[in-house]
This record gives sequence, C-alpha cells and structure tokens, in this order.
Amino acid sequence: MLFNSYEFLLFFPIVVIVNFLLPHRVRYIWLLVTSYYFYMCWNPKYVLLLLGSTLITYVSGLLMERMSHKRLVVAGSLILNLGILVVFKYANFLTLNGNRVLERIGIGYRLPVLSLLLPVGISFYIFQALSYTMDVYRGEIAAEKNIFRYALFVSFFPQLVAGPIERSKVLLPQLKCRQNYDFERVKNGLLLMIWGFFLKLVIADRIAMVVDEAYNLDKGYGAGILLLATFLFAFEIYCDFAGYSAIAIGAAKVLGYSLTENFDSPYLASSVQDFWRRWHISLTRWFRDYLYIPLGGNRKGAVRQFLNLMIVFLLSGLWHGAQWSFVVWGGLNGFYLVVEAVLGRIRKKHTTEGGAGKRHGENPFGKAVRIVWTFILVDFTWLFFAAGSLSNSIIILKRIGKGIGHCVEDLLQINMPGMSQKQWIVLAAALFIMVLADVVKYLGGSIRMKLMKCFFVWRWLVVIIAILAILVFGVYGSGYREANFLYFQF
Amino acid sequence: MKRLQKIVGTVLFLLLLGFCIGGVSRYLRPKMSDFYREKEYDAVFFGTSECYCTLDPAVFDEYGLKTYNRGMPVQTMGFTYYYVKDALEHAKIDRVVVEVFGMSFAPERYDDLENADSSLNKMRDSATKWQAVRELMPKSQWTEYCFPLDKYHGEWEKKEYPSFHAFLKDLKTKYKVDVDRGYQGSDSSIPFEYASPEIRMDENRAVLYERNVDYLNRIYALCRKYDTELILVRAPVPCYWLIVEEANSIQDWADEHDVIFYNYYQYVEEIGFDANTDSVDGGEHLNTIGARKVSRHLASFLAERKRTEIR
Repeated sequence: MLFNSYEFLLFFPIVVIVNFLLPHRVRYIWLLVTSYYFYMCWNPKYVLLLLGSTLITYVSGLLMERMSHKRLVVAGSLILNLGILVVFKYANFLTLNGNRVLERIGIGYRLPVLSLLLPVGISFYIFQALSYTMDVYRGEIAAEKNIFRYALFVSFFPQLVAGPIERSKVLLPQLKCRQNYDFERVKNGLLLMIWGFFLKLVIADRIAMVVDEAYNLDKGYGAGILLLATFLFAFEIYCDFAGYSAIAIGAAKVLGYSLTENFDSPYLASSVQDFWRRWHISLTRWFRDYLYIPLGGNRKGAVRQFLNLMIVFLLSGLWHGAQWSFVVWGGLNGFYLVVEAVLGRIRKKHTTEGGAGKRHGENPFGKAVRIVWTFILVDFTWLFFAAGSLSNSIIILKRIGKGIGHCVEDLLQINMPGMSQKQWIVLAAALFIMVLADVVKYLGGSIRMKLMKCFFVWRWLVVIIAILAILVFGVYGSGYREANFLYFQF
Repeated sequence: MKRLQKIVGTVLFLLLLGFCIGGVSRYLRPKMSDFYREKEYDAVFFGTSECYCTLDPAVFDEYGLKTYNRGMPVQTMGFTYYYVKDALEHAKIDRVVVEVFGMSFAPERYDDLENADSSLNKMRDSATKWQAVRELMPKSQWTEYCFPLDKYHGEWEKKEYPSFHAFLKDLKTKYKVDVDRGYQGSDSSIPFEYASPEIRMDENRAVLYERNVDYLNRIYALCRKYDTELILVRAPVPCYWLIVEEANSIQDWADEHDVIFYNYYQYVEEIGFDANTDSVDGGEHLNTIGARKVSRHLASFLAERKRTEIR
C-alpha cells in the first residue's frame, strides 16, 4: 500500500479512529495488526521475513539479558539478520559478479541466479531491528519482554518501508506510554502529511517525468538536457524521500508518536559533511553509531578516520542498492568527506600555527558559494543514483562531456522533454515554495508552526488551497503512472 | 464547550473543503451533455457507433420530432440499459429507440474498458450511474467515478482563455453544446460489396447471448414502467450471415413482446440503400447519405405514429 494511494486514504482514517476508540492497553495490538496488514498489501509472503527478523532480534534481546555470552548472541543476531538481507537483496548481485569473475578466469561453471523479488523496505526494518539488538547489547535499553509491543516497534506502519529508521530507545518507550487524543497534535500531523503529499505528488513525480525521459538513453538527449535532468533529480529524490518522511512522521504524530526528523534543509548545507548531517538523518546516525564509531571514528588517527569514512560510505552505497552505481555513489561521498577532513586538518594546523585566524568564507557571500559548491558536488553523485546502472552513468557522463559546448542550444529547444510549458511553470512555482520552506527552516523558523498559530480563517484558506493544489497539480490517477517512492526499493 | 467548538470547526472545515473540491471537479471535468437541458423528447436513440452514425436528429426535426442520439462507442446492452434508465429518469420520452448491434457483442466485449469508460463518462452523476459503475465497471475504476478529479485533474493544462470574461463564462456554462445532438456523421464514402439478398433474407436463427437478452428484457420492463414505447432498429450495415441470423432472433423476441423492430436488412430497396455511396468505411458504418436514408424512413414512421396518437 502506497501512501499516495486511495487505499491508504481509506486505511489511515480507519486506523486512527479505531485506535483512539480502543482502550489504551490494546491499542498497540491494533497498530500491530494494521501494520502487518499494511505490509502484506505488497506481498503477503514476505511478511515471514519481517516476522523472522523480529523474532531473531526479540529472542536475542532476551538472551543477552540472561546469558553471559552477550557477544555471541549479538553476533548471532547480526549474522542472521544480515544473512536475510544478503540473500534477498544481494544474492543476485553477488552471483552475477561471481559469474563474471568465473568467466574471466575461464571456468565454465555458472552460479545459479535466484528469482527473488526484493522485499519492500527490508533494509529499513532490518536496520531498525539491529539497532535494538545493539542497544540492548550496550545496555542502553532493557530488553522488551512483550513480544507484540516489540513486533510493533519493528513494523510500525508509518515508517516500516522507508524509515525514518527509529532507535529503540526513542520509539519503544513511546509505545508503552499512554497516547491520548490531542487535537492540536493531530492537526500538526495532518499538516505535515499534506506537506509530504505536496512534495511527492506535485514536485517529485512531476520532475520524474522529465528525468525519466531525459535519462532514457535511447532518446539521445544532449548535454544540456542531461545536465538539467541531473540538476532536477536532486530535487526529485529530495522531495520524494522527504515527502515520504513527512507523511510518515505526520501519520505517526496523528497517532500520538514522535519520529525522528529525517531531513533538515539538506541543500542548504555548506559542506558535504554538513549535508550528511541534514540528509537521511536517521540512516546517517545509524551508520555513525553502529559502524563509524565502533570502527574507531576519528579517534585513531587521520588514516584510520579516512578509511572508516570510506568503509561507511561504501557500505551506505551498497545499503541503497545492489549495484555498482550505488557503490560509486557511496564511494564519491566518502571521498568528498575524506577530502574535507584533510582540508579541515590542514586548516586547523594552519590556524593553530598562525594564531586565531578568521575562518575563510564566514561572510554570507562565502557561505552562499560554499552552499552552491556543496550542491554541485552532491548533485554530481546523484547522477550515479539516477542513471540506474554504472554503464548508463558512464554513457551519460560521456554525452555530457562531448556536448558540453552545446548546452545552451539544447536548453533553448522548443520542446523540453517530458512536460508542457504550463507544467514547467507549475514545477517552478512548487520548487519556489519548497525552497522557501527550507530557507525558513534553515533560519530556525517553521511555516507549519506559524500556520498553526495564525487566525483560523487564514489557516483554513492556506490548507484548502494546499489540498486543492495537490489534487489539481499532483501527478496521480488515470493517465499517470502510479509512482512508487524511490526509497522503497532500498 | 471547547470540545463542541472543535467538533463544529472540524465539520465546517470538512464541508468547506468538500465544497471546494466539488467546485474544482465541476470546473475541470467535461461539461454535461446538452441532452439534459431538455425535459421532453419524442424519441431518444441508444446503441453503439451504428446508432450515432445512423440516426440523425436533424432529419427527425424535418418531421417535427424532437430527438437526441445517445449512442456511444461500444455501448454494450448493459450500458444501453443504464443510458435508457438515466434518460427516462431525466425526461419524458415518448419512444426509446435502440439500435441493436450491441446484441451481437459477445460477453467479452463488456470488458472493453477503454470504450466502456468513455461511454459512462457521458452520463450525469446519479444513483443510476453509480449502479452502472458497480455493475459494469471493474472495482479498480470505481474511484474514477467516485472522485472525478482522479481522471480529470490534469485538464487544467488544456484550459485557455483569451480574457477573464471568457473564464467566467466557462465557469457558468453547465452544458456542452452539441449541435448534432449526438449524431456523428461523415461525408466521406468508401464503396463496398453489399451482402446478397440470399444473406439478407436468410431465415435461420442464431442463439443470442444470454446477457444481452437479459438487458433487453430489462430495457423492455423499464419502458413499460415509464409508459414509453420501445422500438428496435438494426441499421443496414454491417451485414453478414451471423448478424442477419441474430437479427432474426431479435425479431422473434420483438414479436413475442409486441415490440416494433425495424430490421433495415429487409428495407434496403425501400430506402434506396446504395453500397457505392452510403458507407463511410466500406460497410461498417453509414455516412451522412446512408444515415439520411434510414433516418427519413424511421422519422416518417415515428411522425405518423405521433400523428395517430394525437388524433
């Protein structure tokens, strides 16, 4: 069940109304049942994996409290969970690459390719379940005794298939608390959901029409169009994923639960490091807490720090998808961070030697330049994300390289790909609203909060206009492809 | 008190939102057919493309008959039934004329969703339309009918106005004016070899599809309920063995129910049908010349019947 489907528009109000009508002590059972139903709408068979991962981590939590061999238990939980992930997500990637190696070295044997569908959201819920195992191992949280409540923690439907990846110490205690109906919180949550739908349906899916068209290599678009599509893809993936996150956080808020913010004006970041503090925050924190820091972080010298960064980002790339293009994407981001770390160390050394010098680029202009530069660096990596494969990425890069001199001519052609002129105007207006909201957030404000406080007539007016804008300008329904959220495939 | 305030506020907001969505839907979806502008008709025609290519309301005007053609592409008998029901609920109609090419549609044609969809879109919103949707459309398409914005929200792109006045005028316009009143004629002509008298006069009977007969029975019952005369018509094209034999079976049904059936396979000489000039596409549909011949013949009959009734 997609958030942008009619089924969800029916499902969600029913879940909310019944949830608040039920006595508090059984609400988590209701949410568990509806969460499993939500997941089973895709493929009922794969609920077994969700159940399997839940049982493994639940039992491992209990065992860790009762046994002295905690390391053995946590290792067992990690191996089993990552095993599920490897089999269902990476088996064919490994097989295909293994077969290539066998072919290169002249061995006739070929590994069999499995016909497995990638279970929706597997990377998200396995990471969430693993975070519980590790938190219990570290003693940061007591093992959850109630299996149904724990199962709800792993499967809570708003964030089940694409995050935010919640930490057990954040979500589990909330599932135990009494969540009373709060009119203001419900309004706040619904506003957030409307914002999410706006990002997804009006911006992301509209840009997708252009990017899908331009990145269709058979169409042979020139460098200008490819650069434009690459530029726009940055907003597509942001609005798609931030839109999903906003709907997820909003839906959870309506039900009375607070989820982690997943995005914080990422394209206003002034360095790649800053970008990763603002982009997919829950995943970045997961990797930081459960991989980067255990590997030694930046405490074991410069070389180890650089190595750790590369390991984390290469694995982050692989987490996003079993393709070399994702590995390259992760590798590039890791490389950027290493370069920034090197420059940071040089700058620090220079500052220490030369006294308390003013940091270069602190003025607004310098900051703006750094924001633009960071965006360019990040957007370049999105090319590998959007192209679908490494070979496609290389073809696109070659085309851009060859036609770079004719960019302006490409962009001035009468028929831009994928959309009519009116659609472009709508897209520009919608992007302006999105950027404005991000700038306000960056400066510490919140349009949503301002809206919540203003006179009800203005609030109603804005909300009704927003809903109508989504309904009229959104990309959905007959004649349009029902677009999945990009991050579902991860 | 505060709780009541919140409840009232929420209800008012939802009503206002519903009103706005309804208004935007009305603006973006196609205007209602001007069939609904009139409340009385001497006759209304129903059926497939054979109907809207054959019966021209302009010809019936010449005979003092107010008519409208509600034929639609691939209007299966199921859709015909609901279009008849909707029309009778809307207007006082003296005669319901059904062109029966739809009786030859195999049950699989009911799944020809693309055309069926365009067919139902020309029916006004009503309980009858909802019954038709539930009975004839797959569940996956129900939302399009419950929530028209799903299908028509992209129409904003096609709207263009030279002035604000034109925009206001469009807002106020309720009906889509169709000067041909549902008739879709074409002047072009492709000659073809018409079926021999042996085929046209064949007296064998073909078994009719049960589902189609069921809907024909329902149309008959509906006409009786509304005290309207049902008249069946079979255009002279297309003409081949099976369809002639099916027409014979329809004749049996008509005789059994005391319903008039104009089977134009048997009137080709009388109306002066000419295969060299009267078809737009080599024997599948009539062009304006052929349509005029059939329309004049039927109009003459209906006018006579009307005169008899007045006397």
